[in-house]
Amino acid sequence: MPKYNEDDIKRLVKENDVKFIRLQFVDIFGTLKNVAITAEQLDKCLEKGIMFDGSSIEGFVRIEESDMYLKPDPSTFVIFPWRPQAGKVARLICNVYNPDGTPFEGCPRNTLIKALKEAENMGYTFNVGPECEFFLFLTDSDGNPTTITHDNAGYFDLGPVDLGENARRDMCLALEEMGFEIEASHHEVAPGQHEIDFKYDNALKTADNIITFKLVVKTIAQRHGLHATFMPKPLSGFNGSGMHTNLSLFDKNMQNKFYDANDNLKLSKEAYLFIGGILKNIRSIAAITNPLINSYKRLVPGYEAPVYVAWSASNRSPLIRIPASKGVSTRVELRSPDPACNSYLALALMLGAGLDGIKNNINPPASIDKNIFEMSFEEREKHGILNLPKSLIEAIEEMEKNGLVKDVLGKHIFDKFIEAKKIEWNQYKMQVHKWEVEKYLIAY
Amino acid sequence: MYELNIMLAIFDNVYSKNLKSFLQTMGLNVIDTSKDSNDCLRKVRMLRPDLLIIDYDLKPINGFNVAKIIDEDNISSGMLLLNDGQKSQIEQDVFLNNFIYLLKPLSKNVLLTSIELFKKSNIKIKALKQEIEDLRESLEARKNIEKAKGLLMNMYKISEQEAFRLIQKRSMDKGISMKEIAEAIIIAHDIK
Repeated sequence: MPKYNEDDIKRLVKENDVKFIRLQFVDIFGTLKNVAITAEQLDKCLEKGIMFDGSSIEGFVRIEESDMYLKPDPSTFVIFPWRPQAGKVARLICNVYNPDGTPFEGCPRNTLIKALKEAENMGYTFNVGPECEFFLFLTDSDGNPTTITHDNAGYFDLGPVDLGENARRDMCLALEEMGFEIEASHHEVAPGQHEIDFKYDNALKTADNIITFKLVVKTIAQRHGLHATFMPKPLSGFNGSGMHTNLSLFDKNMQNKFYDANDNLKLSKEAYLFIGGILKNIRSIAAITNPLINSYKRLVPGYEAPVYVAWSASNRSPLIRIPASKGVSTRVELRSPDPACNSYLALALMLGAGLDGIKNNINPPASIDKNIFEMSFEEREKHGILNLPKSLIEAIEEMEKNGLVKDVLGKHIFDKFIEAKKIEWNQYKMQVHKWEVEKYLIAY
Repeated sequence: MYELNIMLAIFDNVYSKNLKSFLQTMGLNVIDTSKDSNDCLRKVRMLRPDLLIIDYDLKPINGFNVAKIIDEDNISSGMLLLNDGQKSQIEQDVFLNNFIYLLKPLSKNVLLTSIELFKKSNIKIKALKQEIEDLRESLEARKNIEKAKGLLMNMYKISEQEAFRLIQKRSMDKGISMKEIAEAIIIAHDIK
């Protein structure tokens, strides 16, 4: 996307007859929020920011501390391509500030910016390339989403036109119009499941892109009469939706610091230590990279999702995989995160974990090239292979014990997130599920 | 005899059935009906009807907003059925290129006349689209032949007429169009 400054934005708004600008930001759960301003309010907004009531946003502040400021990042300016010629709508992604002008520590974008600054001080830029999967479902006659996919809908007599294929194509077109570089787009394994990959970029841009991507996918799906969901495991018995993230560190001269031509895997010492850091901390950051109760229904054997804490250069389904292409494309692929995560917090923690490995010289265990799923419990113990958390509550308990996570997220987000997730877990625990009734009602 | 493919998107079952019967009695072809906005969007994108008769009272998105989406994405044309009150609620500065508004209660005569006009304009548009497509293909062919001529002139150091003659002769010998010969020449050159 071209880098816009404030004058560019004012000009574009005028030239394109943009009527409304959505000031976007996310709450700690990654839900996109926005405050809309008119084109007339733009000048003041670019200069000073816009005040809004933070208490209306869950997890932000208590009622007493409600006045907050939204300050837009001009480089995120983009006009939505699906509006008509008249009355276009644009957006600006914002950071949240306290009334005294200091960055609000409950703003996830600020959290990532802080983490990136630390990496910068160590001489690194953090580049990320995500691979997002999602499902497209039909809605019923009341407009409610179902888990029926268009693949088995009843239009066969009309020819092989796949609703989902058309929707996905329009999604890619819209994303490209908004400046994305789409690398791949295809139907995934499960019925109704799709994947769109876009080019890697620095982590802040990528986190912004992921938020935008989810908005575009949902909007275009709606325009096609479909419901898009980034829920990790909507259908039992089928693959879930993950967000594999390709990670690399570059230096100020745009050299990939993970590449070492002399290594047999072509990985540098830094790359190995980065892997070591991630493996050491993955159980503690899982609550952020896999934030839903449903996330842990995906992390089970048999569906290409990782289950064990290990890395491999050759296996297809490990937690950390080393993709084949090297040189400037050398990277580490973390396969556990799912697209329900808050991209700012998830990337901040992946970076924090990796840097922990580099700072504290954490060598990774040997790569596991055998099939872990075929190993017995004793074998896994022998190799020191741990499990990823099996549930959200286990992930939260791990997160609570980890000082690094608290450092990276800051106390505010750390506490609020854990508190909210414990409530979510308790709500879930108190439900009696249809499965239990079916299994136990008659037999007992 | 040109057949217009009509689709209805109406929530009220009775109204929908009656309208469908009426249109079919008048010899018109109703290919499908829809009762909610999502189903309508899916069907319109799959079936691509020539004419969509859509009622304002759809859920969860009202008929006007559905028509807007269909209009913006250029999928179909049609008529939006709405009453006076609903018409005044519609965004005044939005101009739909492909839809007209028909006020309810619907007069049969108005409906039939509108459909007839629509059909005539549709025939003209289809013919124009075909002509544009033919012109585009012809332009593309001419461009490729010019490019191929240039390549041959460079490669074999021959004149323009000789290059053209070469392509023409090859086309006649092989029994395929000059356009295809030109494309083959270009591809072969690119592979080198």
